[in-house]
Amino acid sequence: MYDQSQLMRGTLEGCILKIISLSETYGYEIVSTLQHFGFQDVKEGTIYPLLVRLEKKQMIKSRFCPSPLGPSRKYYSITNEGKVLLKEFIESWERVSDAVGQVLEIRKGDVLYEDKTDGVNSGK
Amino acid sequence: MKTKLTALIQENDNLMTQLKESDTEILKQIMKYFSLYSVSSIDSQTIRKDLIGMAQEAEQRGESLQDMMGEDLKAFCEGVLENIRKDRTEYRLRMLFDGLVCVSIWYLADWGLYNSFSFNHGIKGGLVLIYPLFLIFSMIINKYIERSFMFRRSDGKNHTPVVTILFIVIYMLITLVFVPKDLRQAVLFYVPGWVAAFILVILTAIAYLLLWLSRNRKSQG
Repeated sequence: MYDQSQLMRGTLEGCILKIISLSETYGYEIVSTLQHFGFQDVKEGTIYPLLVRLEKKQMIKSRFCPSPLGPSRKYYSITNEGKVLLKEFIESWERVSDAVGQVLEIRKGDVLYEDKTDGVNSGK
Repeated sequence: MKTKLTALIQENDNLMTQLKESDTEILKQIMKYFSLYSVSSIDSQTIRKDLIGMAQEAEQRGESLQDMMGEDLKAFCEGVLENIRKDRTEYRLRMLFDGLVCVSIWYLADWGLYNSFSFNHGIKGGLVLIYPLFLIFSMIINKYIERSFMFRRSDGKNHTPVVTILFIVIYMLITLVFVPKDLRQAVLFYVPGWVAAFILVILTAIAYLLLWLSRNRKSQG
């Protein structure tokens, strides 16, 4: 079975940053949003190390506020450095996603690319 | 910093008493795992506070901390550790200070046994004086066992480093009960005083240099 963890590792951080950039939010809300958009296996334990990492790198900042459920809750918000990183992530993701999409659409027999020395290469 | 840390520890201790037993157990395991690595107290307590908050919210929703964490607690800890482990300079510094403490204990034990503490006479290594060295060896083995086997039991309890503890107990019993007193005091090896003094001076100098570098880096960063 395909191990998604390596693929998730880099992309999840960008997604978390995006969610935090929308408005100040907390761990459970981030997880619920991610699950809603298809990251079914994500739990608070999955995102917590990433939040620690982003906070250490000063991409996000946090503060404790009382929650309606009772105990105080840690709310995260994005910093200016985080906004720059998010912009870079989106640009990188668009490039990678576009490249992967094109590679995955190749069919057997399609022209792969034009080789200047040997002529045309095909996917035979 | 100390006051902030003390207040945080106190707050965490109070909050922990309100948690479910199963959540408390998981939290204790996680904190124990962090304690096996070079993690600052403030980082460790900050994470403890976050996890307590997570457990409290989970409880309000009728879930447990285990549900929030997933099955692989070790992977969670490793993920967090990647970001909070102290830098190598601080780690080496701590190792050096530990070394200094051990050498000092050795000196004191030597003085207690032979009543002749002096840089001139050196250290006479006998059976009893091997204890501090044996203790260091045991601590290293202990850490390795705990790091390797933690979280592996299905009932969630830690593996007790039985082997290490047994080694120490057996060694003490053999030397103190079965070996005659005069043999216990016999000198097995000898480290000249100037060598011991040289090691102490070099260790202290390197430790202070690293401390200075570490503080300098922090003030710049």
